[in-house]
Amino acid sequence: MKEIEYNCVLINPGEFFLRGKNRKYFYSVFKKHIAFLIKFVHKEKFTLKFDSERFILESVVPFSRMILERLKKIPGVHSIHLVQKTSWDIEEIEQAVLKVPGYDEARTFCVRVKRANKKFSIGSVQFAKDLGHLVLTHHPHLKVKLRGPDLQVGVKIMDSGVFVEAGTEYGVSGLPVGTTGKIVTLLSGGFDSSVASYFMSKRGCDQLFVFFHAYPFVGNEVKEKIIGLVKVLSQYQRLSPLIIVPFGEVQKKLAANCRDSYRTLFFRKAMLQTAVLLAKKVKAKALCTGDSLGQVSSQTLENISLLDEDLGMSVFRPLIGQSKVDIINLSREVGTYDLSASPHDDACSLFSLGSPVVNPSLGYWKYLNESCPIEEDLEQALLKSEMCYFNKEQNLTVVENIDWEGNVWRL
Amino acid sequence: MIYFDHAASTPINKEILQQMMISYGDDFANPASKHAFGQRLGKKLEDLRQKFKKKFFASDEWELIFTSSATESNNTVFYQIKEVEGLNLYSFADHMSIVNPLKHTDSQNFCLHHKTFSEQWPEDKKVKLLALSPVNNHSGKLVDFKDVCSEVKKRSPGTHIHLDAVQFVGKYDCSLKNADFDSLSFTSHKLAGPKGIAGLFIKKNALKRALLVGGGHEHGWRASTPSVTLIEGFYLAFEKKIKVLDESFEKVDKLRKLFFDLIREDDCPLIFPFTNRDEGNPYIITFIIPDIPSDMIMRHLELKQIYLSTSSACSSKTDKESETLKALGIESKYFKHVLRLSFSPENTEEEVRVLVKTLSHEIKELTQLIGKRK
Repeated sequence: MKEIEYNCVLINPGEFFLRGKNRKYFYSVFKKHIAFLIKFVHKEKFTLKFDSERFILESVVPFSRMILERLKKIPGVHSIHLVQKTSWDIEEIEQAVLKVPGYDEARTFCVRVKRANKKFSIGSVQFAKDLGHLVLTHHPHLKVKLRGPDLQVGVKIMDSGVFVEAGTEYGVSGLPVGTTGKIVTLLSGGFDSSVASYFMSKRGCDQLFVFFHAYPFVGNEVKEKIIGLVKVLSQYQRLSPLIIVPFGEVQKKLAANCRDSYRTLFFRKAMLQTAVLLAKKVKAKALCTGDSLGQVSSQTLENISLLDEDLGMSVFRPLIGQSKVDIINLSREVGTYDLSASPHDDACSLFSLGSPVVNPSLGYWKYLNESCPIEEDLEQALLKSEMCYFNKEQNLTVVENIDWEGNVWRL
Repeated sequence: MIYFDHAASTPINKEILQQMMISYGDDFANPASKHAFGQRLGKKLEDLRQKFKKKFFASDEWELIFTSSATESNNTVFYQIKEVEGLNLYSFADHMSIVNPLKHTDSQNFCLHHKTFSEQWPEDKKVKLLALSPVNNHSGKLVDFKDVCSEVKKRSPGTHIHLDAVQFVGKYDCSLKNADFDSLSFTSHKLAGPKGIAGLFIKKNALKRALLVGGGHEHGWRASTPSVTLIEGFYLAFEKKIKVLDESFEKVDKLRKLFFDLIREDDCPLIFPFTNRDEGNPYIITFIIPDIPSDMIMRHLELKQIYLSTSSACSSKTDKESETLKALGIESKYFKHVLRLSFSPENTEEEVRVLVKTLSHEIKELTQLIGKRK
């Protein structure tokens, strides 16, 4: 069966219609993001208009399935209606209604008509009955069911034309990216951090990704994996800059200077601290990690709170209350499952000898931080970072010289 | 840069490179063209073929086909007998260009690392092919293939014996005179020659069909416009190597002895599963570092511009290479700890000293950092 072609998509925004005076701002950011995406995935002319609390995206050339899938991943998209747009001509409307896919598979159906413009000559109820009758003559196996039918055909009569809708698909909802602020997201290559990033995208955060690369203790293959993950996550963002911080030297120093059981904790502190330095450079206001309370021994309440104490910046941990099973299931939804599941070198486990401390001694921790200052090393590591991002066509672009003071967010 | 991965590939000889640059500029005609220019190159190509055959003492019953790689040479052989009924024998520890084309066929492991010929020869089945590597590329183990070949021909004259001699040619004397085998692959880039060119000696009566069909080059056995330049580079490299076979062997043997002596002096905790100080093939030394993953060592050395080879990465859980290591008899706990060092006569004693010093320093440091606490 040839797939029906949609030349119009109605995009319903998520919760931000609840906003008060600054609603306009949210709409404008949202609109820019949609336009930004469509411009580069749909090479034809299109229009994007705001009408009755929703966006109408239209083009003479129908939108591909790929575009619709991408659209659903823009934070703020609550749902999209796939639409055939016609004029007020009744015959044209009837043809569109008959073209709606799914009659053959359905057993029950109904037609719902809404008139936003009451000048249309036939009343809503009557018109719905007429169209329903028409469908029945073509598909005699169907039965009309007004509540909970297998297939609902929506017909909306608007000023600009008539929208014949065939089904609704749901997006990721949430807030438009960029409306809540900028954060630095720490990526590891596992399941958790990517899913955490997804959640923060849905909360409207612009993200700068950072990966700590423990070469030569681990190989460069892991870098490829991280870049792959960022590519998936970038679908929920606009541009997705990634900073790869060379961390082998730092980890070597840390490992050589602390008790075996404190290594993981000390590494985590160094990473968070570097992320804070990075955040300050690029004017981000918080960090995001994939921590889940008690998942592994380094994520005990004692360890997490100890690390946060001296950080001077908020750390968002959207997965703190999630179980591993749930996180893995979420990663399938996000699209990172396959990559996250592929094996990779993990520097922390390479360095981990025996069991990591679960309830750290405050005295030793204080001594450790005083006897082994690392800030200078972290600054140096940061300066040796590599940076790349996915451009509008989703091609990887390497930034030769990072301009920290310049705008790493807009490139 | 200190390079110890010659079994993987060798740096091209600079004089040969110079000569090839000239040939690349001048010899641009198609050697199959009918005009005088093409004919001249066609003759140059045939001369080179004859020179190779002469050096190998190959009689007229042999055909020499130039291919793009030893992999192609091996595949060409397997293609000749694809339709023949019978068993394929090859070592599961062999190069992937033997293992992969044959693994889904009716086949059996035939490995001379730990078992003798008669322990493995299937008496009750018809063997159509025996693929042998005189030198195994992972272990460096040298096999006395001549005895094996004559034994096979006695028992089963119809069996096609193929030698993958990539690690053998240019390091040992190799003659096709009265040979009991039917085909032999060898390649240029292990001999300080250019990449992209290799050879296949095969007995004319074993040739049935071409793997690449087209314009009928290579006497009809391999269509594709031949690169006279590459073939010339290949020949020059080969000629240089065989002129100094014995000196090279002695040089490399010295390097090996020095390596073993220095390792012992430094008390460096290595295990040598195949090689010892005094016997066997000195060109390849495979060793195990029990406490540290080999790819981690490899990266620490590469930072100091020292290049060794490891076949397995600790990131890969389903390691194809571990099949090879298993077949070589390496204990599974060491699969991620195997490193290969392969010499060329161009390597110097000083390089070996730097290697051992660096290696033992890195092992000590890494053991302290991440080695199991005792």
